[in-house]
Amino acid sequence: MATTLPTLTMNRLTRAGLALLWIIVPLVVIAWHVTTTPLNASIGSAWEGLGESAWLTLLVTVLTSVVVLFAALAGSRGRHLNATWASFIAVPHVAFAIGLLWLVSPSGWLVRLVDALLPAWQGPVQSSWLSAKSTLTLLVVLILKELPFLLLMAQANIRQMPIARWQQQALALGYSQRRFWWLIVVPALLKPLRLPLYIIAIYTVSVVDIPLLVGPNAPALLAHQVFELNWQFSAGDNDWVAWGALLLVLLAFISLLLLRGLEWLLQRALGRCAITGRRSQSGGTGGNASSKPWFWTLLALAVLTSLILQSGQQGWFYPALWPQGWQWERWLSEWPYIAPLLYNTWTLAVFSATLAWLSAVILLELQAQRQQSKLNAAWLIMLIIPQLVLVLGWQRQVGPDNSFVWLLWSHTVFCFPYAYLTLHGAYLAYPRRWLWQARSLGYGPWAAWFRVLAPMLKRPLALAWAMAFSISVAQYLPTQWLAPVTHPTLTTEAVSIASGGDWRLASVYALMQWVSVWIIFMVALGVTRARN
Amino acid sequence: MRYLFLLLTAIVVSVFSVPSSAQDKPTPVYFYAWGGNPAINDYIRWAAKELQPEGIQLHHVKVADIAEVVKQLVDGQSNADLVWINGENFHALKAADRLRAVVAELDLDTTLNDDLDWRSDFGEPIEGLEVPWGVGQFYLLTCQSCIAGDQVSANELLEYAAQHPGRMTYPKPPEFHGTTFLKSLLLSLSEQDTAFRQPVDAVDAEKLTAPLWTYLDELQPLLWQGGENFPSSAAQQLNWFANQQLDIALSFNPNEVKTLVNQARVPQGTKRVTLGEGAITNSHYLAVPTTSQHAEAAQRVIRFFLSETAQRKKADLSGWGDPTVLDLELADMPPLLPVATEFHASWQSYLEQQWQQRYPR
Repeated sequence: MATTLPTLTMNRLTRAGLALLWIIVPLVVIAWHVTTTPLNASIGSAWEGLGESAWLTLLVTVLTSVVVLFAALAGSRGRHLNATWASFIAVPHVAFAIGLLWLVSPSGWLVRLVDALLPAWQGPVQSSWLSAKSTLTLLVVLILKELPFLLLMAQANIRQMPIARWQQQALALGYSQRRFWWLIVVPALLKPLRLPLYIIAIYTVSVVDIPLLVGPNAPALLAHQVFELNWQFSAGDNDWVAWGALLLVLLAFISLLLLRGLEWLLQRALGRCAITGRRSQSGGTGGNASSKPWFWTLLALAVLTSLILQSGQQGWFYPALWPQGWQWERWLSEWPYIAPLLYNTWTLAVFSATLAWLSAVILLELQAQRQQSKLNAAWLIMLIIPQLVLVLGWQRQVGPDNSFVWLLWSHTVFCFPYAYLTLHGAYLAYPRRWLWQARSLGYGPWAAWFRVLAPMLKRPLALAWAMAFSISVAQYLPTQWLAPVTHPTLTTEAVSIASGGDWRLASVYALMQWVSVWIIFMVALGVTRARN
Repeated sequence: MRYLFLLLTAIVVSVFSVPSSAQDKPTPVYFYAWGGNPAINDYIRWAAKELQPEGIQLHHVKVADIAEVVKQLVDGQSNADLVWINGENFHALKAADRLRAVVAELDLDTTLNDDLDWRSDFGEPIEGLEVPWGVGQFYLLTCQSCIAGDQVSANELLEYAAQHPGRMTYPKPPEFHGTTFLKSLLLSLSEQDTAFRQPVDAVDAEKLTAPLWTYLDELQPLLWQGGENFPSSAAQQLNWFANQQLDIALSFNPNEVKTLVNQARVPQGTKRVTLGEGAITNSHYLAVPTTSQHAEAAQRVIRFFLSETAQRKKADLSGWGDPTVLDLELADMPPLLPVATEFHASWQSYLEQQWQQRYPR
């Protein structure tokens, strides 16, 4: 009897099946749609209308990715991952944006605080600085939200490096801590961070819900504009949508090329620095502010507090620091309408997270059996294609048919790569000899997996499931375009209410969204810690 | 084999028994309506509750822009049973022959208030294809110390903007408040309102709108953020107005000046100002698509929405506060504003396109 669970043919079949479900079918639907749809509008006229948006999108994408990359490189010096990080990553973007805006907008709480402290100063800020509609606000929200993800990925990679040995040698040779970090660790870190960085870039290219809330609109980002054009009913607009989608794919490709170029330049520059052999005695061990866990804890708490206060206020106008009235009954009166959304969100997230998680575990198990210890990037391809293009293609091909299975499938397509990405490090690094020993002691293959591997990897396994869950909860486009009637979720409702301008009600939904994800993460972390 | 047969029988029986149990189930009515106003959403929730005993399950499908559904209806892939429309969206559906002639079936002619001129929707005869639900009037919300008086002409508004740069803006067309703002300016600037009741093709549109573009060019640098960004919705503008970032907000509901204060969405002391000599006035309508799977129930929903109870509730100032379309006496209702006739529907897309060509997308 083989030492592995399934036989080799089963192995191939399973992988083929997973690829078919989560990659090939989604792509074929798009390809089918693209090849069977004639385009009438010329690219010239489409470019005239969309060109400016395209440039803006490219700018935002590159800026976000570059800032996040450098902040992550500077920020992951000697820090350790903890539960705060994980739960911060899990904050759904929409909830985060709604809460943050309340703090920093021109008539937001911080400005009010300044106003209260400096009586001579008059009125809310008049500039476009961090207003509810500006490129800068969008950048801040995206960067703050994406940074923890990259830091998490950096941390995971650093833990697999012989950092202590390198450091010893570098310090012995008279390099400062800082030079050691940038000349030795960073070059080794850039390559494994390539893929997570690409995921961030592609996410930025095609994100719609955040620009809807805080992005500029004259011009709007390309994905935002395509999303709105897709509502319009004239035939010309339809062609623009198609061109816009193509343009998005092109932008995605260009931004990846630019990031690849940047990585190359950085490697060269760091290499040059290293060759000079200069050493300096200055430079202590101090890290970057963004790496301090308290910064994130504080930010998360501030955003959370603002959401809670917002959800209960009845009248809170500038320049009041504290709400003028309260109406906590809003929670009670709103509850009957939240409950079904909560049910929709949770069923969808539980099913898609479980499917995605199972697929990832099976895949990684097969990889481990074949002794592949590296991440297989092909499985992440759905994260490297702008989501808007994918969902648009599915919607055009199938229509908003509102069936649960179809929606579940679309969510799983996006949850699966994240589950795979989160789990692969721990799973592939797992010493298989434990399994062999278990088998030699008479355990069956299933028993060995469940009673030896699973308990040892319970935390990464639980976190991967929680990650998939949180991805499903945060999905906006698939739900909004594929099943808006039968399966409205907390996220679609929060976006709809927030764009309707009532922040009090939007905060209620954003909080429910946050709590859903937070509970899952805390349970995942708590359960796995308790048995340690 | 015997078990298989039994299983199959069980399946067949259970499948055929579904229709009989479905009779007890309420009939769903998918009501596609703009979902951007919590007070309106609450009203529809109330209606859904009231309709339950009648065996109707009213689902409010909240859309950001009803054009979304118009497109699906024209493409023939929508499950909408009832839609809330007017203006260009009605035109598109009427032109595509996608609406049922509900007015005749419901026999409502006698109860509706004839002063409202509801038989024409943005200059287009409704031909019995939609039923008026409420009345919209366009005006500005402002603070006590901001714009003086209860009427402001386009030129006075420009003067105000010059004195208070950065304190004024409008939602980016094609958002309908934004487009109506342009129409009001145009009416005030041209001092002749009859030409705009005709289709764009029938008049010299370029010449008629020339004063508007000159005006907007002057206004542009005086706008909030120098006109580099616009609010995406009237609701967003309302929030900024409420927090003193702006001096005006736009409204299409003549009673909103009261309801918004009641809901603590805007501070006390907010008042209404008509832009130009009259408020552009139109009706908003309910219609049943030809493709509706539950047309009969949808008509019952319309009948309910036009009942005296439902119309009184709709006009209630602690809730939505939308004026009634029935001939009813309502206590403490602010009077309607002086009326300016709505433009012909074809102006909507004309103005939007012209605006988009001139100002940043």
